[in-house]
Formats: sequence, C-alpha cells, structure tokens
Amino acid sequence: MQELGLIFVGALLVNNFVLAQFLGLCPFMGVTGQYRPAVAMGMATTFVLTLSAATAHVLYHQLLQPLGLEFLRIIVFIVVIASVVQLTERVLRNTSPLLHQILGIYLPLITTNCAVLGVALLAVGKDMSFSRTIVYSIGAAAGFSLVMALFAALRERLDHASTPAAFRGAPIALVTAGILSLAFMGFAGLAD
Amino acid sequence: MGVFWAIIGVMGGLGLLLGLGLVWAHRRLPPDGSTIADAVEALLPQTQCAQCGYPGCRPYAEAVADGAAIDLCPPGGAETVEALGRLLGRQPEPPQNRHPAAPQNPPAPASQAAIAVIDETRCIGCYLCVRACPVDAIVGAPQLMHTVLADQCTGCELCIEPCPVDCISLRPVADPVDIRPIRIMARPRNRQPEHPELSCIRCGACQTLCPEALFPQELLWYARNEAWEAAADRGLDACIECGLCNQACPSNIDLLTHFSRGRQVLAHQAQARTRAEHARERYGKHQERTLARQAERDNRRRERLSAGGQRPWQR
Repeated sequence: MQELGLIFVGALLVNNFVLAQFLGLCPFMGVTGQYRPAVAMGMATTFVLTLSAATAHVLYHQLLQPLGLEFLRIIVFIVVIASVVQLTERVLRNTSPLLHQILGIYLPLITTNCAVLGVALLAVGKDMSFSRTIVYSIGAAAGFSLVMALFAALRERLDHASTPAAFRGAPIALVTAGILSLAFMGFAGLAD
Repeated sequence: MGVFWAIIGVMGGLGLLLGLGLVWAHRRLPPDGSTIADAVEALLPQTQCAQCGYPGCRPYAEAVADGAAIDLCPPGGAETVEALGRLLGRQPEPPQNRHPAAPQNPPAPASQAAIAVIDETRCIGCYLCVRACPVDAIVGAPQLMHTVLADQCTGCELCIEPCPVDCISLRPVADPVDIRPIRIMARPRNRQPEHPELSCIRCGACQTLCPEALFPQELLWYARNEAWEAAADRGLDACIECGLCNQACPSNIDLLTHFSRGRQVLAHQAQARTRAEHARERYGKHQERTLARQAERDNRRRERLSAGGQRPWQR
C-alpha cells in the first residue's frame, strides 16, 4: 500500500511529467492561456492517459509479450491512444459542446501528447503490475492536471502584471515555466 | 515468416476491434444536434424579433432541430419555410401542433408580405424605431424624421411597439399607392406649441417661401374643408411636401399634414379614376367585339337565306 502511495507521489510531484521529465509541453504552453480550459484539458488528458495506459498494459502483457512482438509496442500504443482520444472527443462533444469548442484543436492533439505515450511506455518498461500501472498513470495525470492549473493561474495573473514589453506574452510564460520547474525540483528525494 | 503474419494479425485485429468500438460508441451516443441547429440558424433571417414565440433565432433554430414547426418565422416568409422544408424534408405542420406562444397565422406568401411604413408627417424623430430595427432598414437621425428602406424591411413589426406617436404601420408590399412624402425640412421638436394650431393670420409668409410658387394659405382653406377637388385645381398636386411653409408659419399651423393628407386622398381618387377608366375601356372593347361578332353572324345568315336557305355545303 505504501509502495503504491510512493508511486503516486513520485509520478505526481517528484518525477512530474511536465516539469521534471519535460513531456507534454505542447498543451502545457498552448492551452494554459485561461484557467478553465486548462483545467478541462487536464481532465480530458487524465481520462485519456489512465484509460490508454491500462489498455496498453493489458495489450502488452496479454498480446505482444506472448507473441514475442515487444518491438511493436510504440505503434500499438499510438493506435490505442488515438482511439481513446476519438472516444473522448465524441463524449465531450455530446456532454459539453462549449468545452469542445474551447479546447478546439488541442483535443485531438492529445493523441500527440507525448506524456500519454510516455506514461504507457515507461509503465511497461519498468515492468509494473496492472494495479501499479493504474496508480502510476493516475499520478502522472494528476501531476499533469496540477501543473496545467498552476501554470494557467500564473499566466492569468501575468496578463494583468506590468511586464516589460520585450517579455510580454510567450517569453514571460517560458520564464515562468522555468521557475515553476525549478520549484518542482525541490520535491526531489521525497519519493523515488 | 511467422512473425510477419503475427504482426499483420495483431495490427489488423487491433485496428478492426478499436474501429468497431468507435462505431459502436458513435451509434450509442445521442446524435449531435448542434449541427442541425446550425444549419437551420443559417437559413433564418436573424432579425431576433421573437415573433416565432422563442426568444430569438438561435433558440428557434434549436427548437426546429428538436422538431418544432418550421413555418413560425414571419420575417423569413414563404422562402424560409420552403428552404427549411428542403433542408429537413418536412412540411409545415397543421396549426394545432404549434408552440402555444406562436403567432396564429403562418407567414403570408411573398405577394402579401408587408413592410413597415412611417407616417413621416407624424414622426417626431425620437430615434427609438431606428434602434429597434434588427436589419437597419430605418434611416434617420435624432430630431429628424425617419423613413423605412422598403427593400430592406422584413415586416418584423419590432419598430411598431417602441414608437411613441404610433406613426408606423404595416402596409402590404403589393399596395400600389405609395405616396412617400418627400419632406426636406423636419419640424423641430421644441417648436411644438401648446395649442397646435392657431388661426391663420393671412400673413402670406408661407407663400413667399413656397418653392413651387403655390399659395399654401389658400390651399389650407380648401384642405380644412376637405374640398380636395378645388385644392387640386389650385395646384396641390405640385406640392413637394418640403415643409418650408410649416417653418414659416407664425401660427404654427401644420400645413404639411393637411397637404400630405390631401395628396393622399387625391392619389387614391386618381387611382380609382384610372381603374374605372380601364374598366370602361375594357367594357367598350368587349361590347364592340360582341357587336362585330353579331353582325358577322347576321351577315352569314342573310347570305344563306338569299342563297335559298341552303347551307354552303348543300349547294
């Protein structure tokens, strides 16, 4: 149990996928202009990430390993992720058309979010059990959502700050991301 | 070779399975209504007049996508009903299926469509109707009279309610009598006296100003007594309704209203006269033709009798 907790905290904070492993930077910079879409994006990615990591785990251990086709894992995982994203988009369009419109192109782009593929590949690579994979992916997804929310809130405040003209917009956002990343480095040693 | 077939099998099977899963999800989830509503909304005139009983064009479009009647939009007219019917493959529904707040009459066919007409002699230039118009069909400025651009007006009636002097009315487009006062000077609002009309003091100020060299003072006399024929003899037809006489009159007599009314009466009379003349002409021609036919018949008969009572082919 404690081990599961450590895996969760490790994926959430210490080895945060965005700020420590630098995966999934596209939505991190792209959708964090406003708080609400950023949180929604985090939710959508959480759903996709957890579901696809679990499916990938099952497929890898039940299908690819017995057949000796481990080298196919990347392409198989990508196919799985793409289908899950399609499903998410479909569900979101029905349940919340407004959110669907706000997220726009970033929703199908979850497919190319490397954090999603990264979690599936890392979980498989570390030879985790199914339950650990689930916890690991939930932790990673929560970490992603947390960082999205934090960064979006920071950027919303930055919009109203008197930034020097040269730093306005993307430059100050990148600087902020760097400082946020430094802050997350402080979690090192908390868990593995 | 075994690996090759294994790869083909895994990828093909996976693709098939996931594809079928997506198709299943697509079928199971309720269809996306927004696209139909979007298409319907694109066909609506966007006057936001709420005559359909819904608060605006978008809510009505959504209601139509959900199955509401397609013929509730008076500004859109028959064209919109037709276009919506084509889009949705539906016929206008019988009246009992209507939205309770919907207008009782379906929009008139294009030939009976109506447009708003401002009685410009009564317009006080308050600008309220201009603000109300959803299609910017009313032109004018504050304190100056407004008028309706006939080809822009959709007949949505939104301007009628805000008008404080009730000078806007709907008139069928097909109505051929359309005397548009061509008033150039508007009556400033602050010049409205307490007693609108004092008696004429025969100062002649109006006469000196009239650009058509009429005698407004005399015309007014006829107009008050509704002696329109006499007024016409004195040149009421030539009045261009510029409003200068109103400006000039020290007694604040609203000459223009009298003259506009007179011109309208005369126009109607002239129209009735033309119509009567046409009818008379037609009747005369008809009579002529009938007589000619009768004469021809009589001629033939006379010929036959003189030929011994035999038909031409019996001879």
